[in-house]
Amino acid sequence: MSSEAITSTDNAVFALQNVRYLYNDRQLALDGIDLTIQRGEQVVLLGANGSGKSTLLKLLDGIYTPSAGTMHVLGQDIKTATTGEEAFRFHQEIGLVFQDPDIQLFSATVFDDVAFGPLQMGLSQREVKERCDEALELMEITHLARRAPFELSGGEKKRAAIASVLSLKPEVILLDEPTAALDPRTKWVLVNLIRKLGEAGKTVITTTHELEIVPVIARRILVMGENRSILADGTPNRSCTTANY
Amino acid sequence: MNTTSSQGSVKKTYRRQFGWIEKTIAGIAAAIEQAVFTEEHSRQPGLLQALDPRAKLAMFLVVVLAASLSNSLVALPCLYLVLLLLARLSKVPFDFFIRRVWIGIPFFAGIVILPSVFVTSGPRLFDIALGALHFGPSSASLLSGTIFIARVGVSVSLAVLLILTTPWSDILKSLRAFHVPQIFVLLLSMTYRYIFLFLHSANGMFEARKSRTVGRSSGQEQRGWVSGSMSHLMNRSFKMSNDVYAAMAARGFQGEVRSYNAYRMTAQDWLALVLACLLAVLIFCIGRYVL
Amino acid sequence: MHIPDGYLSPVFSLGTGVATIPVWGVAVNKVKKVLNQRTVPLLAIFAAFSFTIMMFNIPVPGGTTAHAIGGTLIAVVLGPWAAVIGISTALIIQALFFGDGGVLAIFANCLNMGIILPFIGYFVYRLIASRAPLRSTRRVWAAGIGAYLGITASALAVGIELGLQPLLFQAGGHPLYSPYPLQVAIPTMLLSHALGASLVEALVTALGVVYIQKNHPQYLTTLRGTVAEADASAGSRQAMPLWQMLALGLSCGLAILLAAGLITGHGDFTHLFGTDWSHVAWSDVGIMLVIVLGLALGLIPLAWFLLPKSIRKVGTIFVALAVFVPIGLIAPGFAYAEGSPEDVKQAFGYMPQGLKQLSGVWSAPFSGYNLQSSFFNGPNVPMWRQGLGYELSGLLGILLIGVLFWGVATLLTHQHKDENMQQEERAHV
Repeated sequence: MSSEAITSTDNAVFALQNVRYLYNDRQLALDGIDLTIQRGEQVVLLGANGSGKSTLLKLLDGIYTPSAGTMHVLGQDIKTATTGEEAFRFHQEIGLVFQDPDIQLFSATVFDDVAFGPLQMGLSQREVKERCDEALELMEITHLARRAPFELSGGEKKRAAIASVLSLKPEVILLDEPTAALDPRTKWVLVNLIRKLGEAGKTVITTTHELEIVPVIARRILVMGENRSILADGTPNRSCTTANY
Repeated sequence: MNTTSSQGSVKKTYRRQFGWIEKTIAGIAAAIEQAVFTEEHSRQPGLLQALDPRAKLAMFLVVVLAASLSNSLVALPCLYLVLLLLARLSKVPFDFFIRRVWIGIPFFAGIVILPSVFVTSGPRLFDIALGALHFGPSSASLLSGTIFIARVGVSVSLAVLLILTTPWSDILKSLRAFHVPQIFVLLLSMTYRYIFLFLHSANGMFEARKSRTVGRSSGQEQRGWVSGSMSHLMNRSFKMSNDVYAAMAARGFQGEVRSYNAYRMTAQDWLALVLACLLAVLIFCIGRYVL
Repeated sequence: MHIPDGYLSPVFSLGTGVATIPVWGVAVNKVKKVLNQRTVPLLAIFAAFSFTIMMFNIPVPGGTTAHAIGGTLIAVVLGPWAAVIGISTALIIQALFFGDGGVLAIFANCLNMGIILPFIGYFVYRLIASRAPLRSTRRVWAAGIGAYLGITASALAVGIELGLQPLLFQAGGHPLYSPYPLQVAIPTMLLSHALGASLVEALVTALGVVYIQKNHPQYLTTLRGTVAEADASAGSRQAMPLWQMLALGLSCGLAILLAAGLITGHGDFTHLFGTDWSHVAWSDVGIMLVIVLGLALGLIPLAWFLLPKSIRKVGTIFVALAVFVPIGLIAPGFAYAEGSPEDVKQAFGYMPQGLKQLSGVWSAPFSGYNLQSSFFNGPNVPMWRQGLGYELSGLLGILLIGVLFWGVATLLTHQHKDENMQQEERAHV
């Protein structure tokens, strides 16, 4: 990325320059990441197992902080954005859907889990209810609101996990392998839901191994390599063919 | 927002909302890192790594017993020097070996022992008077305090040396030689395997909570969440144990435990064991008859 | 609470194995009978669970965090015998692999945390819960109180073990292992846990039981039922009102005091509650009560309005305590904990030297718990002035202790913050 892209951060959601991340201060997880993502972009992140896709998403979500390099999120330096009171706003603007929904769904019922974020924001009961209903409807799981997470099927769990992030009304949605281990029908239902999020103007960044869904949910593709950096960056047609993934 | 007082309160809010989450994540990461480091290190080519785990466990027990019984300010440092030499020969990184041992438990032991050194009845070396109260170490209390710390430090060093040079599965298998029931050995090894799965889940749960912390929550809500996630984990434990049992039964498990054991004590192992026993006797004699 | 190697004599450490190993043996047999072939996977997974929840940081008031052991929670769900094996396994792995607690001290640590804790916790829980419905509030209280007593008993055991060392093992008058005698080790361990870790454990256990009641009530039946996933007759959610609980606690406390007083007073009814009531000037008491009530009516609402919202509840409770506690001073003889050296001497026949030194510091401002002013304790002042003096000096004393406590707490949290910041800096580098 050119240096102009970094300075014109008005429209950029993420601007990373030469970012490196060491897991436990020891093990190299990400290296030399240069990346700018504009508002409203739909991006897919491809890469082999262990190439650092999930780590990159957690870095973008502010769960990890870069060990070296500069990183701006929504025009703010990552360190100021994730410390103090700013951290609340940050987590509200950027939502991460974890790969394992069993881990992410930590409440007793689906509704409780979807309401967890809005309740913390200090919204009124009515507003919380409205937001939850909206999110559940968007994910088409209104009928599951009173169920316990362990009663759900894999696809339903995934949709509940996405709804629990959507109820925060985030600007950016990060999805970690949303279609892993789903049957084809459930997968395409979910893919269409993700496409709708992008059409609604959200910035959506998805990691996946399934190439056939890529053209549906992305305008831009990033490929991560074994050397833990970004190998290719381009439109769906180009990077699928150039990178020997 | 920019005055110092409100900045202080902002920091405080942040600590209240995120501090406990970050501490847990850091603790779990440290535990996993330690385990990875230990496993990596126990496979390095070194002196102690080459020994039979049963011999090593016996050597450890004999020496740690001798160290615990010793109260000599000559024997304990000598033993520590031997340990440093063994650590060197087993390719244990020096700074790690010293830092991990002394910054942790013996440091804490030092703080614990401090009052007993300063509040003593004997003739004091120097005297700090606080009003009518007098504090000061006597030579005897100083000596017994130092021995106490030295003994704790040597015991911990021994344990660290054993752990860093023996893979966990080998330690467990060698427990069989000490007539620990097989069921316990299997239990310990399965537990060890599932600990990492659970740590991973717990880590994920805390990360998910951090990711969705978008406003203030009360301490009560946070505690409720922690105990809720404990119970959630407990529920998953039940489900998982049923699955694991089914998987074991599917492969012919009928409650009896059998294990494969390919270890054989060589002359080298016996020699090491005899040397360790000699060392233990030497420590014991130094304590009794020399000093 | 993990005892490292070197604190206990090896003879003693290994000696505790005489108690620990048979319990393990019995536990394995008991659990095997119920679970049959499922023993190993279930216990392994619960040991891993036990290990994991020991790593959770629990936020406590004041912005710091604490750890829980969760032993009682496991005992409530799995029963005490399975809990023994689960927690012991977790402790052995902590000792052998993570260096938490000594290797030779494994038997002692397993006795304290792996046996005493779940058994006390479980039996107190059963005693209080008895046959209450699975979803009743009584079970929540039972689990909380059980957890509190379980961990406190475990701390007591650690105190006794450490305190026995200087008695049993010394050379030439010098202790060889942990140097503190019983009268230091036991109160230190008991107090530090009873006022801190035990409260956290109780709270977390109680909240955990609430969660289980709400979502998986079948876990509160027998272990056999739990594993077989049998349908439990859960019953409806029954709440026992808070006032009933408080009344129960209060009457239990009074009954215990009454019994203790009757025993120490040799059955004499003028010596109820351990004091000699025949010497009480009841008119003084009346005046005191009037003054206290007056102060309470004024100060408590004032505190409620003045204090900032974040500490309103706690602050008001403390003000109320400060107003009412000086009533205790009117009791003849001495209040249970607040005797002046002379009272202690009368009661026990001797005076500890340290107490005499310390009491000198306090004698200047508040001699005999009254203010040194002729207005309050001149030779012929009316009784209401004396009463007011008592009350004010009591309040002042409590205030002083409060300020001292707050100061120490602030110092500690600041130190803590510095550590945290250092850690963060390291993480950022």
